[in-house]
Amino acid sequence: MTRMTQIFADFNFMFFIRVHPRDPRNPRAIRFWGALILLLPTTLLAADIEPQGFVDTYHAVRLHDPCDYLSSRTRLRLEMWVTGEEASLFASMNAIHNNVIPSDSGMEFREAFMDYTAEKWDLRIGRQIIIWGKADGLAITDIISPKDYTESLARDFDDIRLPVDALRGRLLFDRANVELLWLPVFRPAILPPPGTPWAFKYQLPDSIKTEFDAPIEPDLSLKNSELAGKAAFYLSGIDFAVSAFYTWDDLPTAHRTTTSEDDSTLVHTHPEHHRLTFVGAEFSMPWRDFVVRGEAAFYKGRYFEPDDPCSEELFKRHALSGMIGLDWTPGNDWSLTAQLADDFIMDYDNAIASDEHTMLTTLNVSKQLFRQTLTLSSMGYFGINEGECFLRSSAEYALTDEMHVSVGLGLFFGDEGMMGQYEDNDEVWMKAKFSF
Amino acid sequence: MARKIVLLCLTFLLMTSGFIGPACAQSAELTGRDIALKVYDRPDGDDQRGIMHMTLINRRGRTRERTLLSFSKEYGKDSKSLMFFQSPADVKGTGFLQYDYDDPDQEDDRWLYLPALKKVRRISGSSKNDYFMGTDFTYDDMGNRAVEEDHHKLLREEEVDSLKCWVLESTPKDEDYMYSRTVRWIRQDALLPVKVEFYDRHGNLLKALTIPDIRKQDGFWAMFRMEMDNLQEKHKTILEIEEIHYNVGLKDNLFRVSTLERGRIK
Repeated sequence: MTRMTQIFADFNFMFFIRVHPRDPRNPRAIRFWGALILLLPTTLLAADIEPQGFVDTYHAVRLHDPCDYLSSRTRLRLEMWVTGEEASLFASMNAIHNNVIPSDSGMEFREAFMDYTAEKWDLRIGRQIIIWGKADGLAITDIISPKDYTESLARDFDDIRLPVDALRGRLLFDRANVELLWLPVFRPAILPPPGTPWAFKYQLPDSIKTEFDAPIEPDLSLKNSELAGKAAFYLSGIDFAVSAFYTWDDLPTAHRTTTSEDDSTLVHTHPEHHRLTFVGAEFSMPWRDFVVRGEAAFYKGRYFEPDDPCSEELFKRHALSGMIGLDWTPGNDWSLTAQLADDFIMDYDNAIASDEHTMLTTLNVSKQLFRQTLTLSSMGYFGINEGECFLRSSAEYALTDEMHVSVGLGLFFGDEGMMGQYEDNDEVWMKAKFSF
Repeated sequence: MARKIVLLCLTFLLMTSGFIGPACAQSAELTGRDIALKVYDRPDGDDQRGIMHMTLINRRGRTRERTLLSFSKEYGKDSKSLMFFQSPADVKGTGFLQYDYDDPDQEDDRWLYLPALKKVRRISGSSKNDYFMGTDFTYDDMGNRAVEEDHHKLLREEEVDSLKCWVLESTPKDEDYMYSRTVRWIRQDALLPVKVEFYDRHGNLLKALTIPDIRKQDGFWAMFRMEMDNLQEKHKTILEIEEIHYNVGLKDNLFRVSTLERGRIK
């Protein structure tokens, strides 16, 4: 099941989950890495030092009463490469001030890894973002780095991947890579904090009272490591890959204990992350001005929530997900992308909250104008099951090579589901970014 | 971005090099097609490494800059190319890998790496009529247009800056092509153009390319500076080769998707 659809299909328990307490915005670590990045004694290193980064500021206002801010944040990203002949180091950090979601503010230690590259193999060790898959804006095989849904769909998909601590080794061939990953520490997805504009909305009858525990996560131990492998082939006319991942579900399962008292019911929820085995495949195939892309994933034994909010029953089922997409670049700076995704629960039970099939389509159109200084684009997500839609349109103008400004609209249609729940969050937004 | 990067490495190779060959045959014995073939087939080394800088100047004098690091290697009639953007900052680290096949029935393989996405994408063949990264050069302008796509006519011989040139007119067989004709002044010693005029579909002069700096490098002729004036849009692009080296012994493992995925190159 794609993370994007899974997360909303099961949102009946998500509204209580807080930002993860082990989120690595640890001030002490941030100070250390900040000092390292800024004060590294470059003269002592026989290597090239390349600092880079950006500042961006993003603000979104609700189009309906009370016209409040749905997002308001400013970020400084510092990045640095230190490059030797065969080994190199990369480090990056964020300093964020978020006016709407204070828990998002702070210094964030983002990535820090070392590369060693030989002729036939390479190693990457440290905190890193790992991206698999061929889809845009959908995570079917892209499940190594968990996602940050703090602002749900309103944040650029490129910004929502969270780094993980990992050791990655690859065997390198001319037309193929074989990749092995060891993730010693589990990291869960981050969900929208309760009380914020992007918190998941879920209405329970007044007769149901709820209590929630913090999610139970796997202990820090070797046996709780995650392991992954992938073989990728880059052949003439087609790329394809097969992959497997022995992991933990990034999203906790809501185990419930129900107690009836007079005319009310108390539902005590104690969420827990469970082991999950994943097998996936992906391909990408160009033809003239088109590229056909596809992904498929099999999830062995995933937990699904019951439709009845008072039920203690959980459903452990195998699930399949698939995506087929088409990119078309007809020239004259036009670009069009369409995707269709389906999540399928095997051995389905009607008591499961999610539908047996959950179908989603996406459509992206973009056009560049004025010597490619102005980019107009529109991305639409369409949920077929609930008849819902999220449309995000933008105009980005390059004032200079370094500074870009953007304005846009985010519109939600529908009453229910992953996008329809935000029908009151239609927004107009602006963004400015300076890269250095 | 994907649309903007295709073909660049290969064209970089083609546009900057020319073999220092023996003196050319007399034009009286040559047809226009013969000259076009000589230019297209000129040897240019087994591999090359270079740095290219582009300056875009609009009608108000405002400038934008792009810098590219490029590697190319030939495998018989096929070739492999790799490039990374070094500037501007918003595209720094963007990389492109291409396997170019001589067989017209085999589509070239192309991959693009976008550092913001940290992901390599397979991309399709870009429209050769699109302008590259906001410059005044289309992909076809930059060198790899097949000889058979045009009719070629030798107009005359004349001297440009005391250098003997063939004046070659090429008319596209495809009537929908963006130019109705091009006229090239080709240096007979270097087999490289010193001046090119591009005419739009209505027969009006659209762009003028001048190449004031052609020099030998590592035994090959190379174009070190090109100035493309878009006369209709009052926009100009200056393309300078900051560094170019031929036959440097590039390793085969440089031209892998895994190199792109690292997002950089030493």
